[in-house]
Amino acid sequence: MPRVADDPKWTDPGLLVMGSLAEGPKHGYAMVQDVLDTTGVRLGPGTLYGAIARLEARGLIEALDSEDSRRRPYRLTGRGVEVLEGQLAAMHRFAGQGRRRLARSQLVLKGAS
Amino acid sequence: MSARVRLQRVVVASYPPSFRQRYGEELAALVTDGDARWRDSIDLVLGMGRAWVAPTFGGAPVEQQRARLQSSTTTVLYAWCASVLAAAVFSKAVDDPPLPGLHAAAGTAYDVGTVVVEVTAGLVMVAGFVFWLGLIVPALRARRREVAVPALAPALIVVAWLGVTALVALFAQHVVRRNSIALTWPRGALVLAVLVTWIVITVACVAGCAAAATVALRRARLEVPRLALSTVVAGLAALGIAAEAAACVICLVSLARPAGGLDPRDAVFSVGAVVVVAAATVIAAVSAARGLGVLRSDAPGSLPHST
Repeated sequence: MPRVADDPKWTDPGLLVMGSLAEGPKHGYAMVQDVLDTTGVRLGPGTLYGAIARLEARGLIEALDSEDSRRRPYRLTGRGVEVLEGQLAAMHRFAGQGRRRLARSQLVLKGAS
Repeated sequence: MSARVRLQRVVVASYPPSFRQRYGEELAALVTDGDARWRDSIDLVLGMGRAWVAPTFGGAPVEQQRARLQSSTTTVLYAWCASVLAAAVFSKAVDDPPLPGLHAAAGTAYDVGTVVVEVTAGLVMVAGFVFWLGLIVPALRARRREVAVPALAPALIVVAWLGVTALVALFAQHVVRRNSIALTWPRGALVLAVLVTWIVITVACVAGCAAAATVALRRARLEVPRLALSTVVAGLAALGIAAEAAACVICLVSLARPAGGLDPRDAVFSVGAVVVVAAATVIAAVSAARGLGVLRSDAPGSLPHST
């Protein structure tokens, strides 16, 4: 029986982190909780900080000054907002298209039966 | 603190230095504060592997460039140390005493490879010494002990190693002379134990030299132009390691042809050494290419998005 884990995914860790930061600055633990609450995906610590490092290196997010170096908050940069908007728009188009196609094929299937 | 959290903290401590410097405290806090699961331990190990294989550097663009060049330099340094040790093992296995037909079988390719290795090693040593002087002299003038001590450590380690080696040589000579060539129990076991200890000390000394140099380089926080020089030297060293790998492979292939060229023990050591040198070649070449790639890019501090 095919495993659920092998199903196609839209849960790119970088995108999930950016989606979480769209609400406002958050530190690592808050991001994990937010992503879990909103998507049901639990980001592991290695995955989370790997994604944070890549996004920061690409200039899509940035660290904010914090007195507590153990809980440094991050926020989206201007470029990060642009990239996230582009990705969400593409996903929106893809989701709308997919649902319309699915609905049409359901109608065809119902008509055939 | 549970055993699982302790294990996860060990894994966090095993991330690359540049990553730890930037995210280590946050990652450790996340591991400590979160509900530790075995799945997270695996995730951390995988994350560590990715961070070593494809490092990313945070901070301002210039800081990213600096970290990339520093990482290339230290990675090639470790690869160089590993290849030097492996080459010594290979040389001992096939050329001490020389296997019958070694130089005839390998032909000029092996000799040319050896010369290339020696010339490159000489250039790297000279360039490395000049770079080291440029690191140690300002540190001593500015009384920066945190840089000067680890920068001087490799020299002290080498002196200590030479002393230990001289003692081991004297001991071996003394025992062998008194007992002829055939060493019997318990003297034979004692000589073996001393030799194994010397090998372990040698490996520890080489690793210690590399670690001390890495710490000195990190603490010195050199500017990009100075690190550019060390990256060019690293590129040269990577070429030397590649030449060494080629020479070892040519030699091994040549020796494998005639029947009985390599006995099983020499075969194990020489093949193991070639595997280490080949791995060092790949690691050094990739890391040096990434560093040199940053130097070639137009904008200061610009890094390829996918590192």
